[in-house]
Amino acid sequence: MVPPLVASPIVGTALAHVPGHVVITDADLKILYLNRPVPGHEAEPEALVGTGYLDLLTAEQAQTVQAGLERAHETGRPQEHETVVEPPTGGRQWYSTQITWYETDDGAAGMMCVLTEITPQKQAEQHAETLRKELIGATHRASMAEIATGVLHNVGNVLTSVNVSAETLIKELDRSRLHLLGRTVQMLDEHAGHLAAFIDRDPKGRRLPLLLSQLDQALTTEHQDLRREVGRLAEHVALMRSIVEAQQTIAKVGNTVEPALPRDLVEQTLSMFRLDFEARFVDLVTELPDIGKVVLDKQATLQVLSNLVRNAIEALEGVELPRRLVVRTAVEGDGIWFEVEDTGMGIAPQHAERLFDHGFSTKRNGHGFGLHASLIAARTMNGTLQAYSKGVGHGARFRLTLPRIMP
Amino acid sequence: MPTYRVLIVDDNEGIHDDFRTLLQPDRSPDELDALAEELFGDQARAPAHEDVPQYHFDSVFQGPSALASVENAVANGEAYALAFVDIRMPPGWDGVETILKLWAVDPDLQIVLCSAYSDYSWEEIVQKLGVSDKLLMLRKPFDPDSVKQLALTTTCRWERDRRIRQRMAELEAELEECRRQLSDARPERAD
Repeated sequence: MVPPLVASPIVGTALAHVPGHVVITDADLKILYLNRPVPGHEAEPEALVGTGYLDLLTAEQAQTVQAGLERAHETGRPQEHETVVEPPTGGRQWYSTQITWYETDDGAAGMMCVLTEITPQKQAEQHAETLRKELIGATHRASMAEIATGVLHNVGNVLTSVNVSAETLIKELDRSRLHLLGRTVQMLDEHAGHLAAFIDRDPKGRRLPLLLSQLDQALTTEHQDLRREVGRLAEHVALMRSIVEAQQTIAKVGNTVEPALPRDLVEQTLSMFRLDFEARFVDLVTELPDIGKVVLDKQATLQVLSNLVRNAIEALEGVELPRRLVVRTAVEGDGIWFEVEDTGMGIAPQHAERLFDHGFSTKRNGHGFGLHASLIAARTMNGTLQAYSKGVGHGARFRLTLPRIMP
Repeated sequence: MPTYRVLIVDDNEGIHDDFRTLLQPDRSPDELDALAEELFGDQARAPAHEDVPQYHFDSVFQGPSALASVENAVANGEAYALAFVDIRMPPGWDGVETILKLWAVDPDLQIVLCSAYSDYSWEEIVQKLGVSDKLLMLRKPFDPDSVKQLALTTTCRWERDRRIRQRMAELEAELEECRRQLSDARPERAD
């Protein structure tokens, strides 16, 4: 029987009522005092006094406690960690464990460990995490639905055109006057023996040269019409392919959101184009005040920014030096915005309203889905994408606005 | 052969070409047809019917420009008979919003609302636009014959409505004239 550790009845009673498990051991981690059973064990405290504390723990827990104690000894500060206990009665319990190293004036030393149950907090955290995941899932599904709707609309449009082209081709071919050539040859065959006389004197024969010249014109026109329609058909098939490509690009939107510094995102974007700026003598100006971290979809934001910068570079290619590109970020109201401004070719007023349309491009090799995809990405993030230009030759400014969600 | 003004409101340029291609009149018989008949006895294909209307098209790509076109047309006394309106025209007004605004300036305009995938249910469309016999719907990808028949039906209906309104106005004027004569006559009889 170990002598009673706590002499003062007040301290003893107080310790017994501490809302947690208090474990006091000697330097060898033999238990000197327990105010209540060790979590996960049913043995009465008295029965455990004198036994090794680590023997009551799993190997992993024992390791953590030893490491904590060493650190507490070295630093003189209490060490804290979380422990999961699976009691024989079932369920899981979480404890916050605080380990302190003590040394008394008469040279005794050891560990004091306080375990506080945090199961309700942990369960609430887990619940919150589950809800957050569900929310992200729902947002993702909603944005996928938005994308699918857009694709359906665009493919529907193109299919209509394909259908019309096909019908037109059939109609034109049905009404072709190519057969008149056959009839003419047949008529010439019938008069094979005396062709000259037939064409010279027969009333029908005399009309043949005129018919042939008219037929030549008609067939040429027909051929041009057919060529044009087949060209349209090929264009539409190419457009369908680009819609699928764009969809694959957009489908990446709906990534998880994370806190990020807007300034970092801009710098990351600009670093991708460093060589382009040098090669094209673009003066780069950045106005990036510290506006703190914002929770956003990093991938989607980078996608929009790089698209805007790429467009700006292309717009600058078309003008003489100096070529200036300004990138800014700022907080405004409940949102933050990114701005990409160039002194490039600008936007003609008649193009302004179709700028974000799918398949619309003023670039020779443009597909017309860069800005369209960017707009959808911005909307998926509950943001907006706007374009400003005073017209051709006056440069352009694009602004991506996103909600300012603090981490 | 009547000619009607038709406005196409769609953000997709290809659709404009489709409508024009589908609704263009058949080629009318030419000199070559006459020659072929004379030499080979070929009958030229006759157009579907001489009364099939012809259409004069205007194209706009967004709601606000559609509104401007309809306002202009009404102001110049050359109202559109029919507008094909796409339900989805990012980034501006959608089709339903556009129709609301078009009808505010021209309530007689016949409208065919085109959609591939609708953001609105039929109930929502009726809720927003009210109960109207001037609205028809066309699903994309559309069937070419349906488009031709829709154009024919709506423009004929527009013309009939116009005549009815005209006739009503005449009748009301006549009625007013009768009332006036009647009230002029009464005091005499009272004498």
